[in-house]
Amino acid sequence: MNNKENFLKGIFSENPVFMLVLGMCPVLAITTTVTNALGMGLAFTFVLIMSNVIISLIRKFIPNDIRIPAYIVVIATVVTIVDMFMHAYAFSLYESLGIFIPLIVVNCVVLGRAEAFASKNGVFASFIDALGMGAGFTLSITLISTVREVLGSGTFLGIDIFPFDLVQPASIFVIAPGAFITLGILLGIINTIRFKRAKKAQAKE
Amino acid sequence: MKKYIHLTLVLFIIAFLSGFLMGVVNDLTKGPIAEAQARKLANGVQEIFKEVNLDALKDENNTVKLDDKTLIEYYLIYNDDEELIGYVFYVDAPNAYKAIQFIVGIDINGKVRGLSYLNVEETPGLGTKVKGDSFKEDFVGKDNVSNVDIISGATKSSNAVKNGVQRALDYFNKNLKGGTNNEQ
Repeated sequence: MNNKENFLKGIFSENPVFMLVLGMCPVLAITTTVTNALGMGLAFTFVLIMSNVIISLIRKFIPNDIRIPAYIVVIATVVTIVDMFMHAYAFSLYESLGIFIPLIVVNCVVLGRAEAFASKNGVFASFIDALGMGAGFTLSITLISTVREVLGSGTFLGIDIFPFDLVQPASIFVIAPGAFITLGILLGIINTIRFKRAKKAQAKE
Repeated sequence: MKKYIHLTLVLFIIAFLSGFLMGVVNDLTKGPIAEAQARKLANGVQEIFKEVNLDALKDENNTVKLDDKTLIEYYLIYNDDEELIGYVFYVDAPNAYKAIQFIVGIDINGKVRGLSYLNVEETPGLGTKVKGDSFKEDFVGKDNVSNVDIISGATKSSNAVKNGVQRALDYFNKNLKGGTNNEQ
């Protein structure tokens, strides 16, 4: 697998949200506004890159029996350090993301990539994998949050897109049920497209 | 047996390094974090009382117990002529979903000058609507918050803010009304 394929699989064939359906808690919880989703996506990508690189570096040193606790310690350390540095040196960013940063520790995509990829591959490949997965995650939650913010609050990136109250926003999209409905419908659409494509490919053969 | 010693040792080394690293980072960031929080408070005061010289804030703070549940902390605000022009109350809003901390400025006549949020951890997109300018401006100039409109979709959070402001006003009317006379 070359680097390009390795990067692109995170966005398409192994997209963490729509294909692997991993890390659903932050996906459902923070996709209320596009700003939140972008911030969460960036913080997540950064943590994923750090944890993938570190775990790939020490993969030969960790015995197989205790790999999971070792990975979790590494991930939690990285998240805590990012949290403290952001609080100290990027205060306004910390203000808007503060509560989401600790959530990254329990994001199973990070542990999933450590287990499935970084523990078996070299440092550079792990870095590319993290970049691709981070991009896939960020794009997916941005898509979900766009639907939820436009329908739920009538805004996009905080800007009112329905002037003169032409359309009354449906608050259900901001709260938890709206998250499930949006995610379900988007998953349905994506799977329909995927199955149609697979059928076409089969017919050609 | 040898295997278990090996496993323990590896995990110990990883945990040790992790703890050490976090300690170092904590030492590095402790100062800037405290500074950032203090700056936030100072900026909030400046936002409410635009005419104030901020150096005066540090020396004149008071912590006063309000009731059994809430500690109310307030600062006396002086203008450049050393005249007392109002108070800033630190409020940890009661009955918020998660947490709302803000400061509210009350002038010497008991009218709200404005509020500024320090920390809002309500549901994003719903409870966070209390940060909106129109809600904040609704308080300005009032000495009673009962006719401030709550925000639909953020009922509980708006009520928490309203109650917090009312507590500060009640405290002011009871203990501070009449300016510096009661202080001495």
